[in-house]
Amino acid sequence: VCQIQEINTDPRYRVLVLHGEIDLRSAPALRGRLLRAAQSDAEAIVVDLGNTTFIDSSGLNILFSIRRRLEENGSQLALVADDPSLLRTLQLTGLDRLVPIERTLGQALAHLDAAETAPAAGR
Amino acid sequence: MNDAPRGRRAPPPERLHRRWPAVSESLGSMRRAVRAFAARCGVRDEPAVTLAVSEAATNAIVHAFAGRDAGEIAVEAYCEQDHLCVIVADDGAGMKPRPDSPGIGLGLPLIARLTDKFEVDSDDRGTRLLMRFNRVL
Repeated sequence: VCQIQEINTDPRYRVLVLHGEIDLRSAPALRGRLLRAAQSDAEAIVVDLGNTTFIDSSGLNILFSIRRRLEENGSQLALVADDPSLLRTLQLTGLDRLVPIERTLGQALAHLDAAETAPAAGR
Repeated sequence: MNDAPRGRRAPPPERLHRRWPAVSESLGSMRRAVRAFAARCGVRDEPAVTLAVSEAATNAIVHAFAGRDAGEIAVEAYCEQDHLCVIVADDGAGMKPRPDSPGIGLGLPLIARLTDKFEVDSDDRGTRLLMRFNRVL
């Protein structure tokens, strides 16, 4: 069973922390929650998998689809993951090539901040 | 007395054979049972076994019983000299393309990458997926 906790650290970003296991059973609740977050005007959604003990293709399908939806709206998805098995799953499906994955929430937020300031600095 | 070839350990005489209803609520219990068995069998990469079994069972739940009553998923696992073998079988309608599939087809490719070998046998009486994983000896 997966529990979803939202952390408000920065109004530009929606941070969702997923606790437990993400599979076919927990996928519908996760999909609903992420879709609602994607409809907000946040610049990015951060999905923190630091407390996630398992994820399979049911969860990965949702991350792929949310990432596409966010990109269409000009925002983006970032992930936090540290567990080697979980990182391997993200790599095997190629999600790591589409979405930034950082080991801590702080690093993910810093990555988003840097991405935001980088284009302005180049002008 | 000890006739084990070249000093190798004999495989543990254990076998897992359980059935679960083909519903998503079964997945957690299935994963825990298979992971515990993989640990007893001495498999190096328990998370790979857990994920592959979850993918196989999810495929069965989503595809084998689409449009009909959910049946059962049988999981059988046994240790061989060098490998753990896991069979996930259902009594559904067989593996067919599903245009309204909720996923994007990640399950089988993931299984292919996580196993040392896998075979699928599917007809209109059900699907049987055999997966093999290296053991630590």
